[in-house]
Amino acid sequence: MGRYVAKRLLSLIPVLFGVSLIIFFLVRMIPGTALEMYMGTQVEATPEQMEELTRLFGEDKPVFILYTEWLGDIVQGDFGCSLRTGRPVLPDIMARLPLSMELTFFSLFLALVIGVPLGIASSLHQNTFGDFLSRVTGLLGLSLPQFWLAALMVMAFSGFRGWIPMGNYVSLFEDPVRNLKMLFLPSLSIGIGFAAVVMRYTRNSMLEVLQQDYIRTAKAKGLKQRSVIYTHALKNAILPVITVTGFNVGYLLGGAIVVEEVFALPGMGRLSLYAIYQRDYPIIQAIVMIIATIFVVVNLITDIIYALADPRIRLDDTAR
Amino acid sequence: MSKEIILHIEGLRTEFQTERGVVQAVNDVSFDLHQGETLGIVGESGCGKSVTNFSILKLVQYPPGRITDGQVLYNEKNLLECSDEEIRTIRGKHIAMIFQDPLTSLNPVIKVWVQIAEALRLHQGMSKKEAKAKAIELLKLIGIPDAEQRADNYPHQFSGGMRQRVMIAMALSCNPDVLIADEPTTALDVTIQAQILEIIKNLSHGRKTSVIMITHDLGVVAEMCDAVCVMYAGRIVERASVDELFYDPKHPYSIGLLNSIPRINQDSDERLHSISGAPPDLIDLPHGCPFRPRCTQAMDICAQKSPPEFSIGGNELRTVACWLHEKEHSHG
Ligand SMILES: Nc1ncnc2c1ncn2[C@@H]1O[C@H](COP(=O)(O)OP(=O)(O)OP(=O)(O)O)[C@@H](O)[C@H]1O
Ligand code: SF4
Ligand SMILES: [Mg+2]
Repeated sequence: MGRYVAKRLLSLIPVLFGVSLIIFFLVRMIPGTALEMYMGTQVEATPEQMEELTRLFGEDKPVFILYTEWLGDIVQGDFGCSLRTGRPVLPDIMARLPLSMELTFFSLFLALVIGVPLGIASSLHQNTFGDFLSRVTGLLGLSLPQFWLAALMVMAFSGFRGWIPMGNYVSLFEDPVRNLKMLFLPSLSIGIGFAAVVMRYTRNSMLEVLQQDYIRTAKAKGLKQRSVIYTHALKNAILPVITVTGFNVGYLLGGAIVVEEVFALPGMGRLSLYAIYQRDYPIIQAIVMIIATIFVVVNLITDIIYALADPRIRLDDTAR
Repeated sequence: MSKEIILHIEGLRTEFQTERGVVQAVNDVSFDLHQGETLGIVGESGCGKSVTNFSILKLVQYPPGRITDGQVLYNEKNLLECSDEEIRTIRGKHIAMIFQDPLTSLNPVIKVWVQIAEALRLHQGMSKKEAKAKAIELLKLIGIPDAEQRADNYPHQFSGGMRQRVMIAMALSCNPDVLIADEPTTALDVTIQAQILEIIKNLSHGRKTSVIMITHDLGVVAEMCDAVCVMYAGRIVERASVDELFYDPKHPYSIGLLNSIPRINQDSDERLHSISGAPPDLIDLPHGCPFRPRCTQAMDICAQKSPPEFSIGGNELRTVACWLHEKEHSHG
């Protein structure tokens, strides 16, 4: 297992190298350079002044040289400074990352807590009205965009200020209760669509598992319905749900970045949008590199959880 | 030969609702299982052997399956009328089952000892620790080497024969009165088959367990059973002791089955016969005797009326559902 984890983490290197290459050149392909955005349309500058500014922005060398310099820096953990504020990029990002991660995992948690039980219930009452209702609701939840749901919730709940705090953000460590209350609606609007996905996967997987021979064996032992479902069926039915959850953490993180903006939460969302508008290349690059790392690590964690849940999977196998 | 009847099945009917129509999988089946006896149920694939036995413990999944008629008497209680609660106290404790395919019948993500221990904890109120010790003891008893270590394994880490041993340990853990073994060796190698049958035989005899042995292999019947029911298209067409069936089969289908197995003392010019034709569609059962389309001795009456079970020579345990044997049937 240790060897497997080490191997997977090692595979981060080529992934991150590829990502760095793509993002570095991609941000520079967005029309409008950092300097142009800085100058705006109002200010006139002489060519000498422009040259001076370009050097100040650190963009005066051929792009390939710039890339190798940047790569050399980040290998040493130096992600550079913002073109606008001149402050180091990393601390600013790290201050906002926890909120976005919390939103992602809170929404993931809500999606599972809503989706799995509904999926089980739906499978046990297959083709009843309740099953039909939850499937239709699920489809609806799936087709509503997260930001739209978020906006709707802001409007709907703005009257309940006492109930759901909307004011200044506090972190999980300062005041956990207030923090969770604040993040509940944003997380719900991010996670509800995924809850629908989880529900459908759980339902279909349960329906398939309940047909299996070992379920009949469990019943033949005289086990109660509850043990048959929660011990024998769910342990098998949950496996595809784990896989689909792993695939979707990225989708949820993306949702978090958008929804933060609607709820005016100081996460990575605001920072990313600002950085893209201003073409603040070092910030964009750093954020993308960090998100790529998170992706790989989340995939690794998913695979480990899957292997723990399914004894037939051996992580050290060469096949995987 | 008037042993106590432990399980009395009468007029059992089970059907499946399918898109094509209603499948009459079990069609008016009656038989008795006597104390300490091993009763074989033989017949071709799809004739309703498994469904009959699932019905006994109400293990037929609804939908699509439904038991529409009949009774299963165990200790004077009709199991088919039991509540879910009541039938659960019978399952695994008094009547246990071994299934056809040991790979798919064991839960792939639960440790072997846990699967054996479940019934012990449930029916005998053992603690987790006691149940584990007992599970290991059972694994040793059925011949699993290194039982202590192997108990923590998962089913996929066992060979087919080992898995079936685990199933047997599971089924016999609570000393049931009745063991239903549904083709326990069909999925196994020939050499392993003999070992598994030996284990079932020894353990059930030692514990005075009555056994229903489902099989399509007459060799297994000869080896294991005291009495046999021959099934065809959801019905029992002949009932006999093993000797009677092998030396004096009455029903044309039984005769066909016996002719299709090789015998050591067979004359070399005698050919092996397989029964021509295929079993009928259980959705559209032909009128009259279900075996008629394949029967070489069919008569006019066979097309008109389905033959009832005629007892031979006044012996209730010896019956044939065939018009040819109407005259041997003596009322009274
Ligand atoms: N879930 C089901 N849905 C529809 N039909 C079914 C179902 N289960 C069984 N049947 C039908 O019931 C009939 C009897 O099946 P059963 O499994 O009892 O046969 P069997 O004698 O045990 O055969 P085998 O030797 O192959 O195990 C078959 O014709 C089958 O098509
Ligand atoms: S009843 Fe008629 S058709 Fe059926 S087995 Fe007997 S002889 Fe053949
Ligand atoms: Mg069968």
